Amino acid sequence: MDKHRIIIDTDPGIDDFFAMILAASAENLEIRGVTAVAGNQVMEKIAANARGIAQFLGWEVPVCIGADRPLLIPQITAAQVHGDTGLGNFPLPEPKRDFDGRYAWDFIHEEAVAAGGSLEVIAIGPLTNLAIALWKYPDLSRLIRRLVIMGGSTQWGNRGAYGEFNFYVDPHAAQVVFSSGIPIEMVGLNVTMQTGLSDAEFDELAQLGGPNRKAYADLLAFYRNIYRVNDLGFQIVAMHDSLAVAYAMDPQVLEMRDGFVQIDCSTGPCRGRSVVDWAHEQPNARVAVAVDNPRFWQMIKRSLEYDPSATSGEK
Amino acid sequence: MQGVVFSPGEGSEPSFFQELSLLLNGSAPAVIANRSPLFQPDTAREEETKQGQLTALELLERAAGEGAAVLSTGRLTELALFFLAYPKQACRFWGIYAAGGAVYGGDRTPAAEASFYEDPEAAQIMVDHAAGMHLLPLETAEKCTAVLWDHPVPAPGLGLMLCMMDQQAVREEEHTLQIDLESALSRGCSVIDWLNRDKQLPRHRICVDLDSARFRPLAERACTRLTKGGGPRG
Repeated sequence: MDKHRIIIDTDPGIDDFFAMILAASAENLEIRGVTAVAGNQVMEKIAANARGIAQFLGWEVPVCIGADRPLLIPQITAAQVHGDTGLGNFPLPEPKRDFDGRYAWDFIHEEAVAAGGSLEVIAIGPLTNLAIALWKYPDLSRLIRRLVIMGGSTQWGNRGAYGEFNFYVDPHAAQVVFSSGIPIEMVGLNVTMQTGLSDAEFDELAQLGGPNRKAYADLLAFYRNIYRVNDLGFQIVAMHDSLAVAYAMDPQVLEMRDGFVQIDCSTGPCRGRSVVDWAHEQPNARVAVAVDNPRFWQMIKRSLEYDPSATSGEK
Repeated sequence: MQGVVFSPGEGSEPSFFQELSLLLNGSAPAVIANRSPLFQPDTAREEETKQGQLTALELLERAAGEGAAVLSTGRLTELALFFLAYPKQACRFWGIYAAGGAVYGGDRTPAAEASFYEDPEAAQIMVDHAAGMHLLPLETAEKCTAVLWDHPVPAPGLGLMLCMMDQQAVREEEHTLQIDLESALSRGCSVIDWLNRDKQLPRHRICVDLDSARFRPLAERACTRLTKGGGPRG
């Protein structure tokens, strides 16, 4: 089976964690490395989580540190959702490996050159690392086969009225990426929110098999509880980042439409809004508009039963 | 001197880089940085290619490694990208001196000075990343005039050198600074908060005045070297 060569650019993040578990369970993804970007928490915690999760999953791949703040505006985090560590109460193993010494953007470019145009990037955090990479390496847009992004929304946002968190945190970076010419597949909040779990589905997940069942169930309960006890404006708990990974594994899970996407970089009420022109003659992205929920949930359930300790060496 | 990065801007003379290279006469590397302003991709410009030559970022990395200071008289595109892409190395510069911005009125627009106007996002990145930057705004830079071949010429670079070499010759004040990125009318304007109201913002050293009596000999020495064909010391 031909595998997709993947770098995951991430800000773990509870839903990032589950996305990486899903990626680990995929037979058609070859994980080349993990790059960390500040977002859900500050970089020190994000980087530790990225390394810890890679180790937990048995990935012996480079984990590279990237941007510790947005390009132009002060950093904000989602500590109120993901907890003080960024991973709720999940116990990660003690680190055994150092971080790779390369900056995230240099690593992405090196891998892209080495892959000769077949590298794909799944970006499930703010796009700051990708923006710096595109600025530093103008040839990068021709070297990446596709960029699957969890970010943006064609409807309402979760951090601003229209701004989804990843784009809200660094709208300028998002605009740089969407202006770059890289083939982009945007998986926005408008579809990820369709994967919201009911209480019955939550309870079903807690009954799954697998060696880490209890730890996953505890973390999902933490995630659900956050939305219940805090006034975050909505009560839907969704596996946002996992949907982007699922799409990378199986394009049938999403319905996509071509559109021209621009990002509102103002500091007013439309900050971070992804404005999609469906009628534009030169679309710059494929945008997700609908999700096959049963298909997606089958993939999630299988991944939560996956045994990371069965993985040996580089994936 | 570790080297020169030349970023062609609007109104740049096409022959300037060649003349600059002749002036340096091999004493220090000179590179052209063709990168367009950060948020204005310019497909008409060629990408900066290596072809056996040093790139601007490599030159800056080398200079940072040597603990050099940076004097900038043009737009801040390359420096801003260096600070983003090499954060650990960028903190090794011992000083950043930039001629740019204006206290109140601009020269490219009524609000904005030319260097900041050409890449305001780069200027804002430098404001955020390079705390303690020395800034020579337009009003002070206008006092930095040299006489070259009987013609008065603006010499903000010499003003920066005065800031760097002779603290007694300049008056600097520490203030917070932001660049307007959103207003149609004021885009590129450097907004200096004289009252430093936001305590969280980094402060920079704004050169509000300089001693013309101390500037004149510096300018005369520089012009004498130029007119006699001497190159800069390495």
